[in-house]
Amino acid sequence: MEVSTRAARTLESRDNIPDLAFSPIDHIVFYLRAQNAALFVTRKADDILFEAFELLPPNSRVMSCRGSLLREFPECAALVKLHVVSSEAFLSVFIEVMTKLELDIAPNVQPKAKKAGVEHAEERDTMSPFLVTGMVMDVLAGLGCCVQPSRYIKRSREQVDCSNTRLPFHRSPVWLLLRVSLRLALEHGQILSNEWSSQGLYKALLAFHHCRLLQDATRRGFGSEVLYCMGAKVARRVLKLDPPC
Amino acid sequence: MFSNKWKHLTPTFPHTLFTFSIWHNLAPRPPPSPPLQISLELYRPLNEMRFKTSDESPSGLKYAINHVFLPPRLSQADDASLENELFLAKSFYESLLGFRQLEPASSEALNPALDMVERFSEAEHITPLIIRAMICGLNNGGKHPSRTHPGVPGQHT
Repeated sequence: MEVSTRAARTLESRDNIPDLAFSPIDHIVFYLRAQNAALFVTRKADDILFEAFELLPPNSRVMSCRGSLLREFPECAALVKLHVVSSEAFLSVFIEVMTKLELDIAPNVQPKAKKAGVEHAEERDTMSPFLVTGMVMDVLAGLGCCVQPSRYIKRSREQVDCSNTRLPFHRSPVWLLLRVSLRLALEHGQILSNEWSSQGLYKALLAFHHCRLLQDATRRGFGSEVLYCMGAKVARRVLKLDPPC
Repeated sequence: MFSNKWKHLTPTFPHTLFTFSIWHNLAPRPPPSPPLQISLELYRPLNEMRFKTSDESPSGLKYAINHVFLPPRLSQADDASLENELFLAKSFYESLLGFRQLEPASSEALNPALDMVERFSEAEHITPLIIRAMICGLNNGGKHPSRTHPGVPGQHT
C-alpha cells in the first residue's frame, strides 16, 4: 500500500532529529494506520486500561446512511495489571505486534470484491479493525480481564467520494482519532470545575478549534463560499455550547 | 475435517502474534534489562523538522478545513498525506493550547488531554522506543476511581 511505503520512508528520514527530554503522561493514543484502528491506553492505579476503536466505518455503512452515522466509542476494553504490562516478556512482544500492525496489511482483514468469480483485494474500502479490536484486545483480556467500557455515542458525518480516481475520498481518520481520544481523556480525567462538564468542555474546545481555522482561512484569503460555509458551521457549534455564551 | 468455508479465517499473517498469547511465558526469557531510565533522549519529535505553519503550508490548511468542516464540493480523490495529517494534529494541539490560555479554569481538566495530543502530534509513527517509553512512563491517569469501568473479571463483553 502506498501509505505504508511512505510511512517507512519517513521513518528512515528521522534519524537526524534533535533529542528531547521525556516526561510521563496520563494517556497514550496509538494510531494503527494499516488496521484502521486506534488503541487508547490509560493507567488507573495498579491497572492499565486498554481501549480500542475503529476509525473509518466501512464504505457501505456510509453510503447507505442519510445524515450522520451514530457510532459508539470505544468499542472494547481490557484491564491488565501494571506489573504484567511492565514486564519485559510482555513489552517486547507487545512492541513487536504494535509496530507490525501499524504498517502491515494482513490479507485476512482486507475487504474483498468478487470479480469474474475470483476474489480480489478491494483497496478502495476501509480495513476491518479486527486484528486490533478482536485479536489484540482478546489477548489483553486473556492476560487481564475484559471490561465493559463506558461508551459514548457520537454522531459522525462521514463521506466517501469517488469520481474518476483510484482511491476514494474519506474523511480523515486522524481527525476522528483526535476527537475521540480528546473526549475519552476528558471523561477519564473528570477533574472538572463547576463551570465545565466533560461534554461541555469538549464542545467548547471543538468550537474554538473551528473558529481558529476560520480565522486562518480568512487570513489566507480563501474563497467567500468556503468562508460562508465555515461561518455557518461555527455558528451552529456556538449555539450548541453548554453553558451557552 | 474443517469445511472450506472457514479457510479465510485461518490466521496466515501474524504467526509471531501467537507467541503473544500462548507461549509468551514458555519462551526463554531474555536477560532482565536494566530499569528504564528517563534518559530517553532517543525519543525524537518530528515537529521542528516537518511541521509548517498555515502560512507555509496552504495545502495543510486546505486539508484541515476540508476534513474538519466538510464543506460542499470536496475533493473526489484520496488526499491523505503524512504532512497534511501532521498539520491537522498540530493545529488541533495549538487550539487546545490557545483555549487553555484564555480559560485558565479549564487547565486542570485539559492538561492530560493536551499532553496526549502533543505526544501524538510529535510522533506520528510509533517506534519500539516510543512505545516502551510511553508505557513505562504512564502517570496515574483517570484520577477518580469511581469512574473506572465496573467490569466483572473474566466476563467477556
